[in-house]
Amino acid sequence: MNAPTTVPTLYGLVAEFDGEKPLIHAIETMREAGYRSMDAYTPYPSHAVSDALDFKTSRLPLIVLIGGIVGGLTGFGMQYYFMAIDYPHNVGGRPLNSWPMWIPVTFELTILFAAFSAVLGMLALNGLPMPYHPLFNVERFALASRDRFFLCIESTDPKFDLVETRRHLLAAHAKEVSDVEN
Amino acid sequence: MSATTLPTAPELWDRIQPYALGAAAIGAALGLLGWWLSPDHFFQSYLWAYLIFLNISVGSLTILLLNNLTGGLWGLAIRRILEAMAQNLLVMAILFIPIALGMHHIFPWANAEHVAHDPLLQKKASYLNVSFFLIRAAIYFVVWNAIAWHLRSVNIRQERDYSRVRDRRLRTISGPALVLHGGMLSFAAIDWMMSLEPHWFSSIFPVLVGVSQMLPAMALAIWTLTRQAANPSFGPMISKTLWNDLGNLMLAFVMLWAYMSFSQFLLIWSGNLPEETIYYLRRIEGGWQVLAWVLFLFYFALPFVLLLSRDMKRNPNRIAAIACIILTLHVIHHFWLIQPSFGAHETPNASPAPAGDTKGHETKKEPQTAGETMEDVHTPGLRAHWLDGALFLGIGGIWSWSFLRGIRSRRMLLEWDPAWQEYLAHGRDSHGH
Repeated sequence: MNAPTTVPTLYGLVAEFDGEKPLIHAIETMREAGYRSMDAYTPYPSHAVSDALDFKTSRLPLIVLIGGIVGGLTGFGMQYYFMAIDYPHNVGGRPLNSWPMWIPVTFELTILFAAFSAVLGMLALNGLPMPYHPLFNVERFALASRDRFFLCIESTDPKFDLVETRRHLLAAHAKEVSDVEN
Repeated sequence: MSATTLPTAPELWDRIQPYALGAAAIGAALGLLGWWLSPDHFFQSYLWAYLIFLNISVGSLTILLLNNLTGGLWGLAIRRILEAMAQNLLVMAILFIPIALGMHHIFPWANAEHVAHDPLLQKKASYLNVSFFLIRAAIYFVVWNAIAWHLRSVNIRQERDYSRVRDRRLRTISGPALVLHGGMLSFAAIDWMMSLEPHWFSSIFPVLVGVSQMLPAMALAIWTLTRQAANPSFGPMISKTLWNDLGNLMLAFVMLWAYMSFSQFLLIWSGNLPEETIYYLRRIEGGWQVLAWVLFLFYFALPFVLLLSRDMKRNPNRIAAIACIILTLHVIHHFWLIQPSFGAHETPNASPAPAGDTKGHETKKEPQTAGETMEDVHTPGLRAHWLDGALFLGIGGIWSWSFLRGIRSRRMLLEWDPAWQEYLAHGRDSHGH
């Protein structure tokens, strides 16, 4: 219990604000100061905050597109293989490659694969389900789902410095700044 | 791309309206000449050009009724434009007169000589006869115009003095009106398009036509809105989200069109019955297959791929370009639907058509029992007549002139509508992401 062999590494510094406006102001101040590895936590979704954080559009549409194309090719290829190569069969004198008949299944598999890529890709990109997050170690962080706004500067940021970053955050009108242990 | 070379909305309409009138005059003069020189071609080209514009008007009415039922800001943004298209149904009722006069040049079943040699058409005569056809046409136009004028008059009253009760009543009446309208457009599609080849039948065809009407109506509404939004006093009212919604609807109509077109083709292809396949044989041989490919690539594949992208839908200039592609292809689609029917019946049983032995491979797959129906495959290859262009100009000129009058005569914004006020107040960028 006591005397851990390793000092807990720091995930970052979290600053607390009591409104959306002060939070956005702080994000802008910190970005101007050169910080990039940061994330904000608000009690409700806010487009203004994600805009301030300069969220990049996600790669999810590309993943869904690729999933759809793979699904389409699978659907068509499967039927072509079954009907024209593996078990060629004369159905009412129609050609073995009766492609018009295969479009419905091709279409369905396109949708199916695209839908699966959307769900699985979403989970892969956002890292959910995530039962543990270092921020939970900060007791006051529970208020993020009530009425407080948090900004976390992560220690992976090249500019991160325990003293300097804390000073920057306080200068940006943070109510409180806490260490986040991993 | 961002700098628009065209003038913005109100001035643009002022500038192009005289051209529409000029096109109408040139088209009318050439059309009269054609009527005298070659009545067959005149009436056939007339029907083609007429249906291009009629179908946009009918489609606009469908979208208006749909929006009354579903709600949605996208409908408020283009309501005035759609109403202007729907009001053109009155003009189209008048322009129907030449079709009524020249029916025997257009429809094989209206040609007594032809019917005398065709036992099947004699059996169908209880529906396909001249007087019943004209009565039905009158009913379609009365119902359509009644709906269009009712929608317009309710909106004029709302503009003067908004009432929630009236709004709800409009919604209540739009349901039955849409059902009635669906019946009208289905029978109109059978009468004016399917009966061009009176032996052929397809139960999905009226739905296909219904979708083919909404797609160009939506495209023209979007294009018109982009020109209005180019005006700085109007543009900021239309948020990126609203453009996105409109683009998604156009994408839905593109997909619905492809779905209906392919469903009809698949059923006929897999059934492989001569009386059904003949419709496609006429449309995939003799050069018509080029148009079929053009339709697949540019009426479905290209708009489909482009409209998947958010950036395309959210940029008014880009979505305007896509709308222009769709409108162009709408014209080609009607050419491919309607024109191959003509000529197939010019010589019902008599002299063999020229170049009859050069049928493509498709016909070889046909069962031997095809018999007399196969005679009809001899259709002239892909060709256009100068009257096609003349009457397209003429009817298009009249339609466009009246449409421009419609969108100039009334305010384009629905400032009085509470949903629109709500949107302008705080919805513009936060609704529906």
